[in-house]
Amino acid sequence: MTELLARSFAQNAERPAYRSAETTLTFAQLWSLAARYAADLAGSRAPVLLIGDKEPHMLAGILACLMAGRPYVPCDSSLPPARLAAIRAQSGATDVIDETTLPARTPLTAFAGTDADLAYILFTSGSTGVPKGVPITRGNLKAFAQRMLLRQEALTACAGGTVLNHARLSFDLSDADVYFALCTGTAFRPLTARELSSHAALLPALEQAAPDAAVMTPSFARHCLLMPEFSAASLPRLRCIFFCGEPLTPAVAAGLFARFPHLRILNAYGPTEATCAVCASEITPEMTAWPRLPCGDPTQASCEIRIEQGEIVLAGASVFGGYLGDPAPVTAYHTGDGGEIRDGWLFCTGRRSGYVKLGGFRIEPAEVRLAIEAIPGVEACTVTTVRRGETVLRLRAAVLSETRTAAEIRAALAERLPAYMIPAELRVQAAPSVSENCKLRL
Amino acid sequence: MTEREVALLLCDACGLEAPPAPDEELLESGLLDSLALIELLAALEDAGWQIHPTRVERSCFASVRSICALLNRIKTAGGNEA
Repeated sequence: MTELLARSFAQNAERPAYRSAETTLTFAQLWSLAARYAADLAGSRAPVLLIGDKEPHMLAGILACLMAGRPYVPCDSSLPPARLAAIRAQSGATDVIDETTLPARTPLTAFAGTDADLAYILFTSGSTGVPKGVPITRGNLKAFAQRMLLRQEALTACAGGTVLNHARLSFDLSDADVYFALCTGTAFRPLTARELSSHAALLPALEQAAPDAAVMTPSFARHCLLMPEFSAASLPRLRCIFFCGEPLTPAVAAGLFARFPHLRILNAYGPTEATCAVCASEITPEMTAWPRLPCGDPTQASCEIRIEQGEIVLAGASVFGGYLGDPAPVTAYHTGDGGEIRDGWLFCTGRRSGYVKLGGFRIEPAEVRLAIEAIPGVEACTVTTVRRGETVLRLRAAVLSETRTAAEIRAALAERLPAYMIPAELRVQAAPSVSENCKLRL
Repeated sequence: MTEREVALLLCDACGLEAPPAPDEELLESGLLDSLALIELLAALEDAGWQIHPTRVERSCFASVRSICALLNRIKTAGGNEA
């Protein structure tokens, strides 16, 4: 993996690597910053917490950890301190790179580590009430980059331009834009939290970014499509959007083709445990008349894909070896996603078990329930999902408590959980009610 | 569009069991979160209301009543205001 990056950085030294509304860093500058961070990380193999939003230190921090042979743990700066502490303790991280970290005066010159070493540990929602660590090796990452990402011709046709990122770096969808940018000499242009805060701020940011390619969740594309200005007229360079994180609907794809006549759309599929995405299909305008869009060709994937009793099962190159702290090794990963292979295409038919997906974020309702039940004064709680068809619209929590108000429970949750895990609908009742079939219900 | 019709659209967009009351607060309570707002705007668009989100304050979506007021302003302005 490091050879791939070193070669790209050598070839593209003077091209822009990182762009924001205020700053541009070249590949040479990014490399220099990373090598100086790496100098202070050398000598240990313990994980490093990368704390921030999408500032230059986050991208340089990723590269620095790869140089120093240490796994990085991307953490959003908006995480509550209690969750950050839990992630730090579980990962065994001994160092932190954040916006206050000063680069060393002398850069690191030699790379450490091999493809068997961990590249990163990503923490996701866990059903036991604590965040669950997914360790990804450099070999996994290399399989993702070489066998999947860099084989997408629609995307690589945009190499050397600018790729737009909207997801947080703690969300592995970002692997697609980060590693596409770093491996191909393409400028990485993240949308900041401020730029994403409203449509009024987003539109000028998109126009200023003038991306050639973008990596998005379908929810974000839908959010953009609400603006009539989101079209080829205001974004004339945009030629490819890579989708992952949740199912892309034919309606969203059709909406994009109507606004961007020359756009190429990639619909990718993959869970965090198999490194971002395992395969992708290029969507044609004709396919938008289909009831469901394909999400890849199983023979052109970063790992082996098979269907067992209607469930997508993954094994091999890009698939992780098991959860952090869990001694049971994973040889085949049962995704919990329903799927079928038809006419050589993989189709994903929705979540069958385990976590739920809400706007691209994965959430274990059990973790939310346990967090609510841990609040003093709460006796019991149920957390369910409100759905329309296969789409999860929101989390609904019913809480049994005589002393706590909904506002107090929200405030207590905000100290423990990321904002996206807090139920949009939260009702408190003092006594349980009994339903018609005499089951206790909240 | 009547308050009742807006309330029904909201019910669907937010996945609520019952339509919200005209003055029920939607934003602070978390009922109309960003995903639900996308659903609502898409539903309004399907009903023939073109709302330019870049030109509308978020506070216009604070209640059924304020959404109706927004739609009335758009109607009065011949669809050009927002």
